[in-house]
Amino acid sequence: MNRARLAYLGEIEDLELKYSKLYSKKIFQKLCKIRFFEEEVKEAHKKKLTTPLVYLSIGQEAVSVGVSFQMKNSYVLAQHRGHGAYLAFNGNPLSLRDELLGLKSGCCGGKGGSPMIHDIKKKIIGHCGLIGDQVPVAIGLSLVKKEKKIVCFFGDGAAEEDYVLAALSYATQNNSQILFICDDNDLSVLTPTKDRRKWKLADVAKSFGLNAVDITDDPWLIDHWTKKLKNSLPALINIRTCRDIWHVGSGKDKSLDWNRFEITKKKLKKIFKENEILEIERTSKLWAKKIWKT
Amino acid sequence: MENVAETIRALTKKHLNNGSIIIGQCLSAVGWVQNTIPKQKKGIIELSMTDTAGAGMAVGAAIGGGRPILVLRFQSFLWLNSSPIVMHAAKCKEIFGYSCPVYVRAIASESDSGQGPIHANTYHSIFAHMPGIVVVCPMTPNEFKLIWKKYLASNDPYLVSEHRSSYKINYEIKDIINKKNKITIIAISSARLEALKAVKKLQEKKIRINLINLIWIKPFYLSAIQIQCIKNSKKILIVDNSYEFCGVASTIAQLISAKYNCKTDILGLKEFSPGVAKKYENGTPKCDEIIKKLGLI
Repeated sequence: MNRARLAYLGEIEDLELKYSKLYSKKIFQKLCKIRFFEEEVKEAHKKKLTTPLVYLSIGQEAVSVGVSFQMKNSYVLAQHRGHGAYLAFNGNPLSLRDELLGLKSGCCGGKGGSPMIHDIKKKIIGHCGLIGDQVPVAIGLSLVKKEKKIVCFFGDGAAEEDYVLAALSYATQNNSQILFICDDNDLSVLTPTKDRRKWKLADVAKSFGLNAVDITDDPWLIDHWTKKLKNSLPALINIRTCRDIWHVGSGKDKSLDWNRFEITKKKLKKIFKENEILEIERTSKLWAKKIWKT
Repeated sequence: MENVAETIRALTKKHLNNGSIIIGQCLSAVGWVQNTIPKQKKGIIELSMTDTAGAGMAVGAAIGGGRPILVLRFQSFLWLNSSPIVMHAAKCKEIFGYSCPVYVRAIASESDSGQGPIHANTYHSIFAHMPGIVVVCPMTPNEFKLIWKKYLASNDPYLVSEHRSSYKINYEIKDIINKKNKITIIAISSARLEALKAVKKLQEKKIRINLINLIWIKPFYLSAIQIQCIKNSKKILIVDNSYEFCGVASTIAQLISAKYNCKTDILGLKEFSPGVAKKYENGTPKCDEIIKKLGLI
């Protein structure tokens, strides 16, 4: 399979032009905040200021950003690579920073580190660190929070865990109000999906009775599908994306199949003037630098 | 007096009618889990046949404030269910600062019931190994009531190591303590029944020994009277219905000997997997084995 072709999987032409300028601005602001926060984490990790195990979201920011606007006030269960979801759903950035620095003021008191972050006040549930563990946990939460919507992120590797598949199957039995998001970077550490399985998650989800789509990580496209599916839950969106950084740590993977950040900026040029885009980037960088200055 | 099964059923019924849930596989199947589940629809959630995910769902329900009861019809299923219980529920309070009070009913059955290598044995020891989870082994109606009360008042996950041999018990089993006695048995779970038989048998021979019924494995709890009894003893045998090596009996023996300077020994299952045929049984240590271990035969 040529992964590069998936940069356009399910794309709707000029979808971004159907959105208001303000909405698109908010999308890009959030995208920038996550990216520049993560850039700061990367630098801090290189300087050995953070705890050793850091799972960066760089390259995959659009996934959580795209889901976040339509699923406000939902419970959120993120995966081990969860900084993006945490920030997209307004988790406290200072608590995240302190957690990554191993401080007592961190969201897990400095004990959980990057893969276990949570902000219970914002309904962001902690992750135990074992991939896919959060999927059955999300089902359990839905058993007692029937009136609430839940977003549950997991990766394409976790999708292969037996308990994840079993939980997805039970979601329809229980009519769980959960939107499952597969953050599909096509890699389990460094093993590509084609070496691990022959099936596609969206197909399996459909066979379980979930509404499901398989799309690329265009933030407007994700927002579009989230809006469409949020009223017919349980549903699953498999989102093809590209991890820019090592599975764990701050080193760089091989060159990206596509660079969503740059593609998004290119699309924004149809909506914004160049200097408006640069200004959003500048203020977001300043925001991130200010957080990490201390 | 109601028996243990009736006690569990009554406590569960009240819990479910207060809006909580009980989840597990085949709960409403023949027997309603040895008659420990109320015959009603309200609050009963039948899981699909998925153990690891099932425990994860119980954990999620507990995080959501549902105070779920997770029922594992055999303790052998604990191996499959362990990950969400020890890796998530047990760590919640310490790592995340919020609680995950899931009540796990893990039901052990006896080796002599033909369960063989599959469903015989008790595995509370492996859970006692992990921090963040309460491990208890009740055997009588009042012990179940007390543990349930404590669970409702706490925000910890509980691993309740039940034993099928307790379900028909409709009486209380009290400690036998006399400061003149120099030998003490500390017994856990179904081993308590055999230990009691041993004490009575020895009594007939005018040999008097103490019997301490241990319910709270973790946190490990002994009453002041029990501690005094241990201090007075010259020899202490800890009898458990799980394997000896790395089991709770060996840990308790070490704790007691270090703290109270007593001579301790342990008795548990032998180091082999039980078989279904009678000659391959490996169950709770029997009365005569206990007496033999004490060197009183």
